Amino acid sequence: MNSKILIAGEGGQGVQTIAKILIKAAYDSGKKVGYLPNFGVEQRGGVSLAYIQISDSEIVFPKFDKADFAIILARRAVKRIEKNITQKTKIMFDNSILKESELSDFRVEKIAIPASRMAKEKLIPRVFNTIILGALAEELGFINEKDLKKSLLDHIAPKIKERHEIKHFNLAGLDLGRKTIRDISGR
Amino acid sequence: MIFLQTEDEPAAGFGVLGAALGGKKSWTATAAAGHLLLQDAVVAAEAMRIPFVAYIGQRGGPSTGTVIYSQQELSIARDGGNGEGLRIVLGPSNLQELYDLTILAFDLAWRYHLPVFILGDGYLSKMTGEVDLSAKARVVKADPIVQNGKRVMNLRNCYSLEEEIARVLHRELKDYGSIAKEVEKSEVYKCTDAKIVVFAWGSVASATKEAVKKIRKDGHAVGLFRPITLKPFGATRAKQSVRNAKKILIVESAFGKFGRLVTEALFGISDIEVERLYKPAEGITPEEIEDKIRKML
Repeated sequence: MNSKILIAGEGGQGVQTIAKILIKAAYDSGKKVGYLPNFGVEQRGGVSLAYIQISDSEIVFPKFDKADFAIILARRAVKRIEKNITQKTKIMFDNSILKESELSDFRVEKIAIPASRMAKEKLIPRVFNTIILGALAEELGFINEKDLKKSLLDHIAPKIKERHEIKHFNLAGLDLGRKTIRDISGR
Repeated sequence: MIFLQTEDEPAAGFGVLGAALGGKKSWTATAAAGHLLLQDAVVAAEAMRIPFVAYIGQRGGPSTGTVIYSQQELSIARDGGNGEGLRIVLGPSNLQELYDLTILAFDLAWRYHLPVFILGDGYLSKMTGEVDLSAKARVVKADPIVQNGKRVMNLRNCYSLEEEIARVLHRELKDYGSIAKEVEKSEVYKCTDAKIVVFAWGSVASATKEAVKKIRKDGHAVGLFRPITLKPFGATRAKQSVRNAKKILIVESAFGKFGRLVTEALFGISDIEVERLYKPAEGITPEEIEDKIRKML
């Protein structure tokens, strides 16, 4: 098994945070992992990419051309990752940020998650990326749920110290993402 | 470990020298324009034979360029400054080597009293992966250099006469020549019967090795030559690696900085076709290299 996952969003959305939490959980689940962040000098705005590989065998090189999964979270990121999408790529995107018609050039399987809207309406806007993380982990299928929760809580531990309710919102976001995928796929 | 934040690279570089003179293992890290500024301290280390270690996370240039990635700082690392480039440049190709070669860098710097660069890149600097941390340093002792309790050393980097500095340079070049033989290191991967030998270094060499492995599986005689020490460069082994080759391919994330090194090393071998895959300041994936090699078969 070797999953190549490309998350494409913009600075400030928490793209790199999703990647960091996911690979730690995958590593704890016994997988080999590789992660390469790719962005310019902007703290906010600008395209932010995360190249992730999760595999049973050694990861040789951190970047790749052909993604198995492409997670698209910003309109301006679409052009940047066109070349990484093949007929076998599965796309996951936030349909409260961009419309499905904007991805009509890619004739591949697409999963729509309105994570940004769900975060705003049901939780807090900032856990948008945690919803995506939950959805992605559920879709991948091989990430142990306990490992994922632990990785998430470890990552946000300093923030929980400042504001305890952050813990609740993040765990709820993770569950919401997972549940949304289960509902879509009828699992 | 003590961290010292300085205002710029000259201060950091000369700070490293000061610490080394005082008998402390010290190092700094930078990239791009900062790497240029650092060279002033590096040639001072070269002139006075002071141990010096720097990690360079190559980024896209010229000037501020990008903060992402490149292999464009090879020439500055090898020959930057107004000296003869008497330093050691190590090119890690993955995270494990980044760890192991950093340990080696300190050993070499304090063993030979020379500047040593670990020439990484933005990918190596930022990626996350698995590393075995069990390797241990040989622990070359760091003694105070100017005054070590036994004697007082007069370190000199300023000369009045051209004959005077020439004498020193000849002595230093001769010494470097014998050090070079001891430290030179390259990976020669499946070159013995190779009809095509690919030349690559650093993380590009990891991508290349992956491509070479795949093509080998289909029964094609392809090999990889990868210098681990970019300075000194293993020219003799490079020549040996192409003994049976009809073609070579040079792959790098710069426009010929490595290519010039390779062609200089192979000078005199005229019946070999040279192809190039140059992508300045841009990553090169195993898939792209595989495509390129397949077109050459």
